[in-house]
Amino acid sequence: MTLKALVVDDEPVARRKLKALLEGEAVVEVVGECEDGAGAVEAIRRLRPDVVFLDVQMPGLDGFDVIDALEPQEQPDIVFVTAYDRYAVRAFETHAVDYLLKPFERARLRKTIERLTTRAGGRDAGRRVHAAVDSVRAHQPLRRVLVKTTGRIYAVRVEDIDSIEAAGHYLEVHTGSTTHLIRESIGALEARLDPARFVRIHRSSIVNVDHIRELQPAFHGEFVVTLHSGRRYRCSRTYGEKLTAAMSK
Amino acid sequence: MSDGRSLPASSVWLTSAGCFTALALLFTSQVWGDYNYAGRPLSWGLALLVALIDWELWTILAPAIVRLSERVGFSRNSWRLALAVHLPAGFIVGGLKLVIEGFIVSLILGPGRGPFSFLKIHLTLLTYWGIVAATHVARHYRRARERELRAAQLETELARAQVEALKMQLHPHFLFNTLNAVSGLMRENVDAADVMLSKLAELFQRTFETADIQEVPLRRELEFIDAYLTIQRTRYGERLRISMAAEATAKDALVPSLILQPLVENAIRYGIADQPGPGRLTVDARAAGGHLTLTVTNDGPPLPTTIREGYGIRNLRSRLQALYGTGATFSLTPNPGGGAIAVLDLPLAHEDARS
Repeated sequence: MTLKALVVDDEPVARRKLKALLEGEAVVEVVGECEDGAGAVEAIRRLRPDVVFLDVQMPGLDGFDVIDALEPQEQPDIVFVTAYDRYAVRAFETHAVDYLLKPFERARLRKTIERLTTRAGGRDAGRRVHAAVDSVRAHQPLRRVLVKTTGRIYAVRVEDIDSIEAAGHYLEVHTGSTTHLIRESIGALEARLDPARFVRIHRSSIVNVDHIRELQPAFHGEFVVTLHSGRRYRCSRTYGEKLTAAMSK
Repeated sequence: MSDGRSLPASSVWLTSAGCFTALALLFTSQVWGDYNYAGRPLSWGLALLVALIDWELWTILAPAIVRLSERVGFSRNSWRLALAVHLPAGFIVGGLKLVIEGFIVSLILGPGRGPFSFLKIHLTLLTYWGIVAATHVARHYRRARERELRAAQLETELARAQVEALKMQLHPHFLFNTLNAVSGLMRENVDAADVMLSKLAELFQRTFETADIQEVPLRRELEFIDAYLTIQRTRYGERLRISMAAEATAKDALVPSLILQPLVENAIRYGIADQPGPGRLTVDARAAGGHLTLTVTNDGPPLPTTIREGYGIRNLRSRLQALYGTGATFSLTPNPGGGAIAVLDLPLAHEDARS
């Protein structure tokens, strides 16, 4: 049995190194390589590899976004390949997720391949990968929001977001004149955003304080929030204090 | 010489009021003695009043004398002018003061009972020159302290810039990816791997070398950036396109050490590393009209509408302020085609011009 492997890294030298080492292994067949996250999602669906060697830090979608973008049934075995990061390494260890720390040598890679080929069943690998990704993310505010549409997956930088509004089971993410739909709850997203930048101003809305043009006091301690984009929101009294505090920072 | 800021009005006023009131108290007994000795007996209360009139007139005059001494002070080049101004000014101010003093005292004590008017011109001139001298000393002291403070601030900020440069080199993402690239290159091109290692070593060496050098010729700063960019170009391959252009005259100009590093690092991090596909980085240096202009441009994702300046940029700004005051400017603006343009404008100076 051979392992079909996909190599994902944004640095060409790093890809060539991994490919060269993998091609030296009899049990591995390299079926493709990608230089960014969006390409990786597409290649995984098209090539159905058994294992993906996935760089974590990449432009556009990073390695963790790739995991998010995949449906559970299409997720292959994942080996994260990353430069040292305290939180990530701890999370990978805790959740028994395979990883390679750059720079790695042949012996270390062999150990990983051995584990991949001899793993008896253990089909909860996908769940463990997700748990590890979540726990790494808990340590840092969100930098990008992943948007999945039919046929396209892309990332929106949080600094470009004007505001976020709840709309049924979805959230509307506004950037300038564009609106992106994502499937998440407003509370869950709020918890992952940088509280110094994003403030909940209402049960159903969050604004980016950097994009606020002005606040106008209204009745009963409420505010009308006007953004540079021209959008207006009501800030209810319970959130008013938090908003003025965040803006005066 | 009118360089340096003037002494704060409130402290001039407080100091002279304090000094002259003390002198008035001290001279009360002399006034009492003088009047009694001259056969014009005076109560202690009136003696105090006469002394106060004498000295508090100086409190009123002092701010003007201080401002005049600030404008026309004594220094190696200007002592002739200062003498030509202050000699007559002393007589005029002193004479005027004695006339006013005599008038007020005679109002209180009755006609013919004024102080020993113009006999006091010696003490009056002495006081005038005392104020001029005190101003000189105070200004000298203030300037020395300001210089010390500025030197200390510059030192702190250079140390911070050095720490930032080291952080960049020791950042796990940069350091370990660079080492991984070396380990990859070893299998395909030993010479290229060699270059990577020596450039990495060069980055550290140059950072350590600048431990206490505030300004270096631009040439050295460009060599530092070149070592950094050689590494990045090897890592990113075709994705990173670099052009560097510096006029020959610009290369000899002095720039703050480690000043380009945060700009180039940001351009790579936000412009190239964060963006799929190829990106371009341009470093340009030109000297004209007494100015040195350094421009770092990158394409890539547009700058956010509001930029949260990181530590590197904030440190850069305060170093410029400390080194050149308002003589240097820095701006970070969106590049019309996406990405950012950082422009650093410095007063043009060469190594031999400063020692």
